[in-house]
Amino acid sequence: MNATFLIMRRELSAYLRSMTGYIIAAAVLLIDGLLFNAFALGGPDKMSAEVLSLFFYFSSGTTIIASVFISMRLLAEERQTGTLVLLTSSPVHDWEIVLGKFLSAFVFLGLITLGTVYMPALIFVNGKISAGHLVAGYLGLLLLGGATIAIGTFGSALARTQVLAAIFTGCIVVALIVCWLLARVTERPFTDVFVAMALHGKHFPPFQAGAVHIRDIGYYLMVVYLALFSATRVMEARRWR
Amino acid sequence: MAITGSSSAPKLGGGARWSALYGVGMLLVFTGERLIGAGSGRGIATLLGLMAVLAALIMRVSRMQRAASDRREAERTLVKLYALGIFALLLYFIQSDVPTLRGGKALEHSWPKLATALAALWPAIWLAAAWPITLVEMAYAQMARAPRIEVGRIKDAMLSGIGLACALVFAFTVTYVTSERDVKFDLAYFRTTRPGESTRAIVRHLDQPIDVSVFFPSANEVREEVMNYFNDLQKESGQMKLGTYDYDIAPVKAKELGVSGNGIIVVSRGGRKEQLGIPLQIEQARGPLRILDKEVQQRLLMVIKPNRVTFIVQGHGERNYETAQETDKRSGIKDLRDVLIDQGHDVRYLGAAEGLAADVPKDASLLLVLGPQKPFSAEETASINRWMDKGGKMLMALDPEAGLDMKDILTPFALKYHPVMLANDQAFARRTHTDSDRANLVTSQFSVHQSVTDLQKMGGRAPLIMPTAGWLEPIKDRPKDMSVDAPITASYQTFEDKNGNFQPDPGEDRRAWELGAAVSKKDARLFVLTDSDCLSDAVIRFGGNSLLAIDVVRWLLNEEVFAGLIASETDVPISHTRKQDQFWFYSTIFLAPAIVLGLGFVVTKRTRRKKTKASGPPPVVSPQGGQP
Repeated sequence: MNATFLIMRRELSAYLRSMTGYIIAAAVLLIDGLLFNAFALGGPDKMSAEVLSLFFYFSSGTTIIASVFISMRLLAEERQTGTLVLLTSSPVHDWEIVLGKFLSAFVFLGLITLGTVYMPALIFVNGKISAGHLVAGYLGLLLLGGATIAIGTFGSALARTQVLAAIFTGCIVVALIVCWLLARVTERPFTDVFVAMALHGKHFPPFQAGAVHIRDIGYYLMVVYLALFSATRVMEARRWR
Repeated sequence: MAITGSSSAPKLGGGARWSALYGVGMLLVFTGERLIGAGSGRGIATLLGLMAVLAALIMRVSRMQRAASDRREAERTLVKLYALGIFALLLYFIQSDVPTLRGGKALEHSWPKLATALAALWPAIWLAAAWPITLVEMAYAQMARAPRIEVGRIKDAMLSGIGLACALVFAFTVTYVTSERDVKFDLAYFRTTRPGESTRAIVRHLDQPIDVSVFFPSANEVREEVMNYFNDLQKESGQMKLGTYDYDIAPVKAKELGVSGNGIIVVSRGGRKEQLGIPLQIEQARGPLRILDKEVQQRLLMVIKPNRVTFIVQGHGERNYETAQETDKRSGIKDLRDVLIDQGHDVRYLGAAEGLAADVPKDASLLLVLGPQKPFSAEETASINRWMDKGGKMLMALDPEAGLDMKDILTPFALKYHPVMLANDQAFARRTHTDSDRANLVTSQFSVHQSVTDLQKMGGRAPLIMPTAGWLEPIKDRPKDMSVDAPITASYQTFEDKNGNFQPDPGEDRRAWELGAAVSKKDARLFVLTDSDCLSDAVIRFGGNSLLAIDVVRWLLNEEVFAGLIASETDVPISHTRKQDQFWFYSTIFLAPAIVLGLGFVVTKRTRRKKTKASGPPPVVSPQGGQP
């Protein structure tokens, strides 16, 4: 596990010491701020719970996009610059590399996400919201972001370049989001399968509304597990490919 | 990696086409069994699929026998995986409805548990074959033209595939179990209503089964909200049966309940059905979901307790729920009527023209006398007294301004009304900011009587506002079978303002005057309020006045077991001025990103400086071109 944390620290410091990390964070805050003002808060007077719910709704989109950008470099960059061989030939397990990379991106995304707290806090000025609703919403954002980053880690393990990694990840994430729409137009047994797989439509809205379901937490954790497991298998595939 | 020696047997090329045939076969079986599902199409697709799968297996076995020893190992692995896949198919057919096609019985009839276990097992086994086949073929393809096959690579690929299949099965299992055993923590302040205490009490006291049928498409956010509500409510009693249907899938059930589409909730018992419509889009459904508890309670009461007719007595200058009349500028009772309708009452007027002088109608459940300005005729009084003697229920709200004491009705119930205005110079509701506001009494002094259960629970959070009230005096000498309570009293600084100057003059005593009285006499119940303004549209929305109306009506109709608050998630709108908008806009859009970028600039500059220091100063080149 020490190796995991060493990799995590190294990667995290790479995010925090390069201007790219701050540009991504600033972009997320800017877009979140625009969406918050234009759609969540803007227009005719809205109820406070509605404003908060809309904030989480729009933030979820930004979080997904940010996660794709943050995760695309994780393993693809190492492969692109030729350092992956060095990393895999060091006395570190493949799963430790994958987990360390994932955790660094997740912590970085967590910092960005928590940096948006001032926006919902503004609702306290004139509205009525509960701290529980905030906690639930942010838990949902972190789980959704975690799942997307895990998928991104898998995409990054598959791809040779960062751009390809972003494309792979984008395709998988979009496919999982579209599952919800497909569930509406298909019939059983597909409806059930698509509903169960939907990354956003089924599992995120409860968090958005301030409700925490064990089923949603379980789903996101399983997406993370499956994506990271697959990424580890892809890393290990060099033995037989 | 273990490399096996080659033999003299012929070298075979890649066999991916047979795995492709195996895959196509499986796809055909799936199409026949799960997509077509019935008729000859199903049989043809399934049979073709099975033939393709078996053909692929035969070809693999043939290749295995002909192959050199290194390739034979790889082929053997694939044969085993094909066989595993076919075994999964066999398990599927055992637990499916295939035996019924030949007149037999499905396994789930004779061995339901085994059928369920097989239904869960076959996809897992199938997956444990399909993933490794894919990965083994990938590994095999890399070495197809190699002089020797590395069996170790094939084994690694197979183990990798089995690992992935196991991970997938584990993930699906956990997801399934967590969704079946879901626990919800609702942390929102304003949310879709959860069942209120009152609705829970109604369901808890059901003496006969009641059906709630929810018609929504399966992948729908509003359905989730509605089901959360009813799942909570269902826990209160086994008498409530909850059914979920999709209109498109269950048209027969929909026709039976008279439902014309999705987004409908039907509450039914026997032949009585009540419907409630909710939009299918969450954006449009937000409003109805906030008052879902009120609406559901209304439907429940309409089904459980139909035909409750409430008469509002007219003809003596009482308050009414029509538009204001020219002669009466007092506030009406439209909101009170709406509250009663929400509680499942059929509200009608009753006056001399409707036969009050002869008798109170037989179908009357409740009689309301709200702010009469003129005395009742002897016939009307007699009619009301007869009705009360038979166990009638009546709410009477009087006004001191009218000067009526209604003693012919109240004396048999051991009450005396004093039409003298009360005032309070310390605690009162401000309206005009003059001394006359002192007559707007505010009280939260409630006893534990069932007619004020919710008011008593709410205490100071829902005070009762009574503008210009008189007071009541219970007569001590009364029959033993009569109980008289004074559940509402004024605060102790309230004084009797005999001269109407709103000042506490000498002789105007201060005490906790009785503002309401609840009397039970055998089956008859009477509740008297010393002010009718407190039930009027001008006041009923404030404080606990609407709670009083609901509580009192429930007590009068012996429905006090249904007492409890109705859940209503009334949120507050966020109103902001243009100036505030600008401040919020600039602070959220520009300030925070600018701070982050500034921080990034400082950190990266410092890091660069540190790196420069660590690597030492740049070498200085001497004018001669050499090192100094």
